[in-house]
Amino acid sequence: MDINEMKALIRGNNLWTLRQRAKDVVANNRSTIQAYLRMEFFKPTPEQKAIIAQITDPFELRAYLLANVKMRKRVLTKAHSFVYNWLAWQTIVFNSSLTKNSWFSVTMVDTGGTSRSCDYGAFVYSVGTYGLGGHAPPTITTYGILVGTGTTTPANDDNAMETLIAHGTGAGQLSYGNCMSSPPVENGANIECSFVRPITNGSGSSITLREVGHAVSTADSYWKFLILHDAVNQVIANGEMVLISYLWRTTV
Amino acid sequence: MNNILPTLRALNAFTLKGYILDLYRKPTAQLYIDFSTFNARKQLIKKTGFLKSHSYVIGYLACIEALFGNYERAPSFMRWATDTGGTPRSYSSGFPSMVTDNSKPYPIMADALDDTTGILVGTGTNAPANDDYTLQTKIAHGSGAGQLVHGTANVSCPTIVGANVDMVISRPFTNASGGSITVREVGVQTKLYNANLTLLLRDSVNQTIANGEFSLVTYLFRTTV
Repeated sequence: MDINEMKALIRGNNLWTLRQRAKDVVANNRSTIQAYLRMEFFKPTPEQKAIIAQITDPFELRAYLLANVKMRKRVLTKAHSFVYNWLAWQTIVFNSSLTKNSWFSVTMVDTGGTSRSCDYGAFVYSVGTYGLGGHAPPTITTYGILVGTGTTTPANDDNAMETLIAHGTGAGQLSYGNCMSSPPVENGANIECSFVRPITNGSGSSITLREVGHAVSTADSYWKFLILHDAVNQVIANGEMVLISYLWRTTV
Repeated sequence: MNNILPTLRALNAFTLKGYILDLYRKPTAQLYIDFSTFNARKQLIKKTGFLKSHSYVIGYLACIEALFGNYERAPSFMRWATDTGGTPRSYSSGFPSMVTDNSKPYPIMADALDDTTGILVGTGTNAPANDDYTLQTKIAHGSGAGQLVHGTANVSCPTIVGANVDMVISRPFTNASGGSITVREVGVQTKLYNANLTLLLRDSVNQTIANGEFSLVTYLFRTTV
């Protein structure tokens, strides 16, 4: 920082601005946008499993589980996990002008490790026409909320789950349900929306979850991009169901 | 007790360590705002430096969440956003029905002279609230009394900077009004279907732009793993 910039900072930090800075330290210290990861483990009875099988909406499913099924354990932690592709995608979504036909490309690495130059033709058009594709159907493990067994600490440039757990009921496999999101609502001092996916262990033995992620899918090219990646350490026993939720919260 | 026990059972060493680290770690998503003012010779004369922004309003999550609707399914879910006139606008087909132009989902890269989208400034002094849908008292584009000349917005590609990923949007505002203007609020607006405008961000500031000066307002979007 040169002397001129230092002088500018002193002039710009008037009493009002200094007060804001002080408030940010002592009282108003939460980020205006936050992400949380919630994992709720349930052990339904065979009768309850029959009912659960009929519920396709994960939010209805959560309401049923909370009201009727014993929750064995629950963890709610801060997510530390927006990776590069999240801001890249956000840049593409917001970086446009209704009066100009110009876009710049943002390079994103897909879940297969291939660099994709994402611009109007490759990505934005798909987003605009169909949406981002974060609502994965049951059984699909190429996008939506995903779980894995990789233990490497997440990094900004992660592009894929380290060791994805496959869908199925074989050894080391889990059954993936419907992944959906809910529109934002005011909840106390915050605005919240959530992304939920139920995952069931029918493999015959316990599985330790070591990573959770959320990937999205483009429409025309079917490229998949990881946008969130978190480290966890929770065991899901055979016969249990875990509801994994990413909560996005904004606070003024 | 039924609520406490599940939480205790999940509290293994890994999770407990995570909770302790969270006391020191930065949030995974952050937003900052800088307000820099230059004289007519383009010399920097005032700069707040990056302040924490406290300003995502409900319109932001409404727009972002709607994007996650899946193309492989019928986009039948209802989504909504309140326009800057205070009217809730519903979109029965979800995201595809929300946007003005399919190829430009949420435009904030405003052209020069445009005082409807992108970064905007105002003189309102009310504290921002979660359900704000408009700037309190927007400063119009122009060179008349109380007006500012709105420049072209700029959005950068995200880059990995040290431990963070940063993306920046900025916009210059020039004061040719003949008198000083004190900016008390900053916001970002986008345009949805049928030219409905929606507020995404709103911040309080307190910076004076003298006649002949111009200010560059910058938002820094940051993520940290």
